Amino acid sequence: MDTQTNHAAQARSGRINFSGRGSEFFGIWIVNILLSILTLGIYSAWAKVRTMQYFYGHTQIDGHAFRYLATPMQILKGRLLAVGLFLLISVLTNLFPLVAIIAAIAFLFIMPWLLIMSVRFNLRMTSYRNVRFGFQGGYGDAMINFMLLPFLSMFTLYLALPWVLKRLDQYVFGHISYGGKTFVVNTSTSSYYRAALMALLVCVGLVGLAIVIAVALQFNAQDSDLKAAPWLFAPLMLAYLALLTLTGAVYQAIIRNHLFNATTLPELASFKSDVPVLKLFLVSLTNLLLIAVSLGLAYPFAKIRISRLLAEHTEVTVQPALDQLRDQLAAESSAFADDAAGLYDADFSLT
Amino acid sequence: MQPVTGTFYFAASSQCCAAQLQITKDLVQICQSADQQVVWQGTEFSQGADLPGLAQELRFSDGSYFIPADLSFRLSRRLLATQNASLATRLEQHKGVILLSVLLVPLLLWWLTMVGMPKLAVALVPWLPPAAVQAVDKQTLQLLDQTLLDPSKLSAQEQQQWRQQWLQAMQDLPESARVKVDIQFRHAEKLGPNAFALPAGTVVFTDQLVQLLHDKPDALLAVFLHEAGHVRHQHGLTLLVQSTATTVMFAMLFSDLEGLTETLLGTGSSLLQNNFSRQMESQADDFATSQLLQLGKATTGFIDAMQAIRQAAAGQDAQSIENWTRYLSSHPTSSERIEQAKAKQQAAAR
Repeated sequence: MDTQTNHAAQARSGRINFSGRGSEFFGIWIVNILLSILTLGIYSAWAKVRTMQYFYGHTQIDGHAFRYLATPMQILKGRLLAVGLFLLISVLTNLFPLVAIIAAIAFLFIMPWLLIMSVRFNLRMTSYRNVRFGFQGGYGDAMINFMLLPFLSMFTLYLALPWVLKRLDQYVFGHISYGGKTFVVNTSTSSYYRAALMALLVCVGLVGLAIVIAVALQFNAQDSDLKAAPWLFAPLMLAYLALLTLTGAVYQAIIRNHLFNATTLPELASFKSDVPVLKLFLVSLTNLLLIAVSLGLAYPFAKIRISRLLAEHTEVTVQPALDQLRDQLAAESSAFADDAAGLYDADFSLT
Repeated sequence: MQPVTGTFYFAASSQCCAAQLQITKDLVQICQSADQQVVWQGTEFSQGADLPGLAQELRFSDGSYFIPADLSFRLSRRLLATQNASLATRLEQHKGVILLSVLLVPLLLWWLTMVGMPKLAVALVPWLPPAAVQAVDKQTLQLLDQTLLDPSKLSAQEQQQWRQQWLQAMQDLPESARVKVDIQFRHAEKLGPNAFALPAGTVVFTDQLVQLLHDKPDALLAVFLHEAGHVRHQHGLTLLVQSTATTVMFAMLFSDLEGLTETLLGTGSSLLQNNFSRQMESQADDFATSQLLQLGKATTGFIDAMQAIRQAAAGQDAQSIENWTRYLSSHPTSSERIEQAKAKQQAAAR
């Protein structure tokens, strides 16, 4: 085989190639929503699989595309379970508010498990060069990182939050495996504090700008009283969302760059991300405006734009060893394991 | 047929090679381009999704697959000599269908939220087991007693007197308007003058309201009939079922959306909810004024109650109370409601 002759082959570096197009995805998106409505939501599982396949297929590293392996039935099963759970919770909270408090506490303990199951499912259904990804995160760590530390950070007035977010990213990305190797994440706490500080400055800046505009438009406190003018609720909500998205873009750009640069897949691959903060900010801002002006119809174009931007600014270096991997997950699975996986392998989330 | 060039990915391995696909009489054969060595052959294969801008892969039973280099290559069309792409693909790429979707999706979403879901809720509510509905009342009142409400400071005698008056009025109503109610009194510093109904028929009056309208028994009766209207039309449960069903629908349809759009949809639907609850308030008002007229009383009792409550509420933050429980949520403005009651009185006088 030709791949085995490349013993002395060099590492290959290249940008991620994203070839999805807004016009194509728009058709897929809007028709799938129509079909989902007409089938009372059932088709949404097929819609999700097609959307994922479209995005994965159009994302290539080193000339090879990703593949999404989940079947619509797996997605549908997970969704029906999630809907069932949601209905159960809403029945409980509304019919028996006292029981609901106990249920809520129980849910806090189930939540990390659900998150693990969901991450694991999504990674197992992601394949690159016929080798699937895996997730080895355990329940205890998930409980600490997803639940306990975010909760405790409240008592530090969220001063510890960047550190908590660093631990969270480290937990998730540091437990992803591919071809028998596990990703190694060497992120630094100071980078997370820097990102949080930048995001905070942008947030303060935007709020200041909003106040200046409000004063310029001569809003006075009485006019903007929510009770006197409930219609003000909508633009305020929009402004709040815009603030959240734009601040998030700044944080995301900084953290993504740092996370990618600090992460390697030992002996197989390394990564580089150089997303310009201002560029992501501007693309997020224009996306937001487009979606708002088009009443949501611009969503597919916005999603394609962001995906292309992120791909353009990501470089992956692939080592020759990656050409010779065995899929550990495929090797392990017996007929029984497949059956069991069939029972439990459902994306237990609505997202 | 002509050999098709592409890439063959070996089973359970990251190995791949440039290869050629050849199909002859049901036998599929894949040869490595470099040395023509056969790397796979057999009869069984399935095809991957047919998506725009992407080659359609051929999947083999052992987990290996082949991706044609030509992105537009579609095996089925070659084999069957037809333009027979999958239905989903044809719909997604059909300009007419896309245009139709752009028009139909907003229309259908609007219809579902404004008409479909409310109708579904009204149809579902009678199927809820009465025992569960009773439990709602019991548990909700228990929860409220622990948070917002204190035991009534009205004398047992006064409570009994009001209760008797109102239940008697209920007896005098036509059969179709009668509902079983359980009248409760509570002292509520935070709620102020207020009254609310729970789904199974528990009607709670605050001491503050009774004291405020002490001299106007007809006004208190009007408030009681308004709450009885909520019970009669099963407003609490309907709104509950409707909001749950709407949430599930939006979650199923737009699960792929990220935070922003999702929140926008959420905000939109909660604004709609307020709209529905305002409609329900009007319906309960209508019930109250109609029954007042039935009892041979004027709707002025209702107007008195509205005015007194409005004056008393002016001083405090009504918004925060509304957040507490859905049964107390958004009302039409009181001037609107008073106008309605006046109009009704005039219509009855003619």
